[in-house]
Amino acid sequence: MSTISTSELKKGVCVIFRDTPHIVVDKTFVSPGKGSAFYRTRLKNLKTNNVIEFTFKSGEKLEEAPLEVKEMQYLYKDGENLTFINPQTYEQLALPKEMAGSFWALMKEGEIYQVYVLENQAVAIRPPLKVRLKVTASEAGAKGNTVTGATKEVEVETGYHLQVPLFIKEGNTISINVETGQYTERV
Amino acid sequence: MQSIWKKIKEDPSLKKKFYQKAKILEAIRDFFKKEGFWEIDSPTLVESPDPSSFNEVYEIESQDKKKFFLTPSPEFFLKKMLVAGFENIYQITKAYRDQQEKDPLHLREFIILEWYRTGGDYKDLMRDCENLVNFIKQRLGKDKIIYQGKEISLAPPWPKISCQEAFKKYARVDLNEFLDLEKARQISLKKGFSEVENSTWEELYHQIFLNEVEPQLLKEPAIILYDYPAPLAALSKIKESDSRYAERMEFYLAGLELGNGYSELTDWQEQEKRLKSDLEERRKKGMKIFDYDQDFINALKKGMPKTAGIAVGIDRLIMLFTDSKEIKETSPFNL
Repeated sequence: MSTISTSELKKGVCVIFRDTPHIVVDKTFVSPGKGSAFYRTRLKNLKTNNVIEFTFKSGEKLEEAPLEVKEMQYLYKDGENLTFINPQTYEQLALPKEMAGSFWALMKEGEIYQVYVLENQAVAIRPPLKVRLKVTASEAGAKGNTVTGATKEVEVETGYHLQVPLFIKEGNTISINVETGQYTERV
Repeated sequence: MQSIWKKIKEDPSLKKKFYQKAKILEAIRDFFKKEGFWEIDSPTLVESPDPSSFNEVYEIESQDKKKFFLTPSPEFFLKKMLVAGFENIYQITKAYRDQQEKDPLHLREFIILEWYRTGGDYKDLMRDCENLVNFIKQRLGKDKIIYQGKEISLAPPWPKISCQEAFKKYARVDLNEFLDLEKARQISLKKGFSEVENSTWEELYHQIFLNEVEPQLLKEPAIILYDYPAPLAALSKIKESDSRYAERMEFYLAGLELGNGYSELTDWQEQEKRLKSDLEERRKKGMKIFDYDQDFINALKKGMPKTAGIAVGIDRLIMLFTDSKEIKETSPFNL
């Protein structure tokens, strides 16, 4: 078990907080008065994906969890779990679907994704900034004011639905911003 | 990164914030003129700055090998002037505090407003804050203030809560009990905080304050926190009715911590003790060392009249009135 001081925490470091692994999302130094120094942190709970805020004393020791990021190929969904395989070692890992969060809707079988692994267990996915998916079904009708930019709904190969500009056709590959879930451009 | 003057030249609508800043500074001066205060000009380059150790000071070396420092606050000079016989004084000036990392609420060089109300106490300061802020709001011609999507009511009187009440309401802690170190450790342990045996009382207090109390205060459009435990206000007058607490106040608007003031302690021995312990803290932390301002102590020995004094971060006040999310938007040229 290795420990890390709160003053050494950096974004992306994984620590055990209240018995659960958390990733440091943000950290700010706070000095409220004479002789005391603190670090205000935002921590992402790897089990629930919730981000909490907690202010630690400077110099407090936390248990560091050895989190690895592994490139793994997404094979298929099996019940409530997503199965990944390491293409080099053939090691397979299962990730509960809810740990992938809303990103699950954009995951394509056969694609390589970055998976957070803690003690040989997949705990979360580190999603890319954007994904490229093929449009598999497109509706005829348009939505919205034609002057400002009409859109229509399409379905992409993962079953995800979104609004795109009218010129997008079935078979086109489009780029989707993972954070917003919205169309960015045709590829 | 594109230079600021270029950005403004290409998009003149960006000038608006600068005009608003100028109006705010003008309004502050007009407010104090109306109140009968005089602005005193004090140096920002000094030999003996305030040694308070929670901020590092900037050191300058002059050609004749003398060491000077940039002041983190005009307090000592203004207090000397109170002893000299000036009454009801203020200053809008720059303060300099070195920082470990950049953050959205601090600037190394910032605009500080300090005022000293002769014969007054911290309750007068509270009224001053309400009046000053509303005076500025009126000057800017705003009938409502929207900050980051929320409407902020600045109408006085602002809600006021004592540290005792705040700890009880938001942390379910009896602050009177908590004043005892052992009790404080027990309470902190029960709350699930760690390493409590090695923590100082101040650390225990602040860990609860920062995690449980302050986040609630930051949700209020306007709030004044007052009557701090005496150990946290060594330079404020102790409350006559309860010596465990001191006459210190802070105010928050729209979640921005804007000012810190108190009924000033005029006891030179207490002040000297504090300067010495601050220097000791500096030594321990490996911070810059210098002689403390003996002239300031000499002035206090002569006798400072009963005064209430307060410092306000003007850049943050400007953030509120210009709906700026980060402090650097108000002073984009600053380092």
